[in-house]
Amino acid sequence: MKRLFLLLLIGVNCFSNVFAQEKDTLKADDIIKMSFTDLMNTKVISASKVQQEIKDVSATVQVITAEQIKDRGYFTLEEALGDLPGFQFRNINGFNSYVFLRGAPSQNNLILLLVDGVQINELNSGGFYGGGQFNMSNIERIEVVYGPSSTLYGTNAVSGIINIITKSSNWGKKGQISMLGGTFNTGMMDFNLRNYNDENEVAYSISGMYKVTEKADLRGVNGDNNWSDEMENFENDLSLSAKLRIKNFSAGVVYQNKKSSMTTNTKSIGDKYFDRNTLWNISFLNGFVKYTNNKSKRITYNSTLYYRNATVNPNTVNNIVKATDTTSGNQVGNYRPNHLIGLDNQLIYSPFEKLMIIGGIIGEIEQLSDGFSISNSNSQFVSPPAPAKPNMLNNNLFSYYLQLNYKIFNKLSFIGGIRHDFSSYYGQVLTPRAGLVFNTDKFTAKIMFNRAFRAPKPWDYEFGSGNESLKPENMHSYELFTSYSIFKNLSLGASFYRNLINDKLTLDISGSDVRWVNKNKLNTFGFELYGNYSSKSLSLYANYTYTDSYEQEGILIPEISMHTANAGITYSFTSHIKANLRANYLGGRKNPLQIPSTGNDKIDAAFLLNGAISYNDFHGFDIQLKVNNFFNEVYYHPSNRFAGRYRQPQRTIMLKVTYNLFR
Amino acid sequence: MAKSSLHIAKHIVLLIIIFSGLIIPCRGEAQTREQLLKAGYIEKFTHFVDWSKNPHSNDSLFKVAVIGDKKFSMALEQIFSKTKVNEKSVKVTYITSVDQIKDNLILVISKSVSNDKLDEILNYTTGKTILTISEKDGYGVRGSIINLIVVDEFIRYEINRITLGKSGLKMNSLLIKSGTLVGKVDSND
Repeated sequence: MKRLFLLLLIGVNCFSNVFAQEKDTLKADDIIKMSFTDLMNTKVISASKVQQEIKDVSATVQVITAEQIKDRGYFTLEEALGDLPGFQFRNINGFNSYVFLRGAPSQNNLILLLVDGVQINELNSGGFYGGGQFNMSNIERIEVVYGPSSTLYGTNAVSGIINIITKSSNWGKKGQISMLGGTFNTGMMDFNLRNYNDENEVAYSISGMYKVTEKADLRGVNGDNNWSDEMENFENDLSLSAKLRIKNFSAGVVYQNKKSSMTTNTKSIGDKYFDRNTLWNISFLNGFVKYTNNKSKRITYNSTLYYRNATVNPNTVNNIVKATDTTSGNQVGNYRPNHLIGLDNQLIYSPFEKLMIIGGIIGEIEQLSDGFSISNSNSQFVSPPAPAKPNMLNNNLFSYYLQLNYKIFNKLSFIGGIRHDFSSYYGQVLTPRAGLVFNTDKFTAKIMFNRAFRAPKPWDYEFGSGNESLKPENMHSYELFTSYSIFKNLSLGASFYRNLINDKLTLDISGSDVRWVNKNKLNTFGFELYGNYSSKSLSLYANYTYTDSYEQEGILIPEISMHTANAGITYSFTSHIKANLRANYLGGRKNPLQIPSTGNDKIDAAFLLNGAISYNDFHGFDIQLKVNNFFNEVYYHPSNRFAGRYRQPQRTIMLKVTYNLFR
Repeated sequence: MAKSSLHIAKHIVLLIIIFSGLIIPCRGEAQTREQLLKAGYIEKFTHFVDWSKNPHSNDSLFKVAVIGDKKFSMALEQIFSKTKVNEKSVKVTYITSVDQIKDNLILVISKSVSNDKLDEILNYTTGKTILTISEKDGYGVRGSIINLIVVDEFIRYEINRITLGKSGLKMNSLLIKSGTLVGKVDSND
């Protein structure tokens, strides 16, 4: 491995004769959309922690733009992430789906999900919720930062960060209304409105979405005989959001509600559970108020007060046990409230041109359930009463962080940082990082060392027989990223990384005694290769991911495929008609348990073809026909819940009509 | 299994490095963020100027010439390939000498143009209905109608009211109010 990095370093040094020029994520399209005032307010050099140009960030970053979301008709967050390198999934087609980045299977608690910079991971588990509750029409871009980022974000930023940036109100009066209908009783309505007033420096945006879908046919043999022919599987999602900016103050609130059946959580055929009438009802409320002062040329100050709430509502019916000849069965209700309030004060200081220092102090107070509060109805046919409020656990957190970016030469920067976290539960964690970024107009190389951690949540200490000595999982990561623009519109890139997660939180079962312990390791070596081409009417992308995740040499981690690849093409036939075709290849992988229907533990490789054709700007209307899984491929995702696998959606067809307001 | 995979990966990495090393040392041609923003300004300017007095205002194309830095013309091409001026497509041409200015309605003079060359250009354009736009400190006072400058990391512009008056071009008052006026009016003019 040392030789490998030495070779890469030599390669980087060979490129020092490349001439420097500035390149940017700011595009001609963005500039054309700007008003004269917007232009006058746009800096020639973008600076600050969150607005760094991608090439300057000491991490591998991929971006999905609003245009790509629209052209490709992404219906869920997972669909969008599925075309990027490095991602794999365990979609249970039910109340949640799980996103794995860079070879680390999890319950979504190794990735941070942010909306406009505010974390929305569920508080009790630390995992975020996948599925349909994101209003894709209101997304300006999705930024994926690969690798650990605990130095800035603390716990859970282990495999990477997904930052959803919602549409900005800076482009003047804009708005859209959409309706969608499709197979599997899929329907959706969404809207967004935004505007700003130059003179008063006031901007606002509001958006909403309601979505219903049954996702796939999982009945009987279609679902691998895990469920009956009458099984019920639905998901209804509501999303409402608002943002307001007045001079230096901004505020935002996002409310999401997901109601879905819990059928796919367990098997019903061959098990005691009933596969209808369950309800998972979880609500997320996240809000922030932010003050920014950047009047000084050298100092920017940000202060953000935020609130997070992720409550499993008390009318949740987690499971229904079937009645038998001798028992009446029962319905099990759940309730799990929690909330957090935090304050993040950040200072960005550039004492001279070559140096930027970012420092911050964060305080958080969270109140979490000590577990699910449970109620029973004592009958299969009677709804459970609302559970009582569970005992609440208090966790107080204090953190400070410091990061500096120093430009050693014109093309070479050093990035170093450290974060110190204190928790009333898991104690102290120190997280350092260091990296070098080499940039020219065409070539970028980044060499990075990062550490990250995932802290046990308060209820983990008390789970089962309890374990007071639990400590955070920690990751060491080494990475090299290179990208190169061969022509004006063609770029190639590659990331190579080695990750090691120590002290993994592992369920320790001995007899009837269950508890979490720090045990096992997860080693991952991987690389991602990608290429993008775009011209006025044609855009192409392709990526390949190699992932080798193992506990120890020779023992592969289940659920992770070694080889995945994606490719796509979008072509504009005229200024109105656009079509795209996208392919996903997911190599074979190992299921955690033996699958009864196949008699082995293999999940077969799958090749999927998806596409969409759009007619845009027809008297203000955009019309799109979208097909997922063109060839109706029968394919599966692994299950870590029961001995079996999860059938994925059959061919899905959707038609969407959007009306653009204030054209 | 993991070891053999690592071995294969090492070879792939090596191949990529060798491949990259062969093709990387080429000079880049991308325009800068600053140039793209300035091109955005120029596009906005076109909507605040009355072009009717220019004899080529009725041509089928709206023509823009760039002298000096070729990358600036690329930035303008990017912007004008996606938008029109008075319903006309815009043709951006990179030129190297004054006699190539001809039927262009806008002449963009990049900061790489020397003082002497600027004087030669302005001798040709002054008094004609050609909007000259430069991007170097002092070039506004020297006679360019509009001069784009960077102030505290933001782009601002100067308007030389003398050469504007001589050109016969009419500019919207909003555009004039947002810029800084330069050029004395109490001289022989």
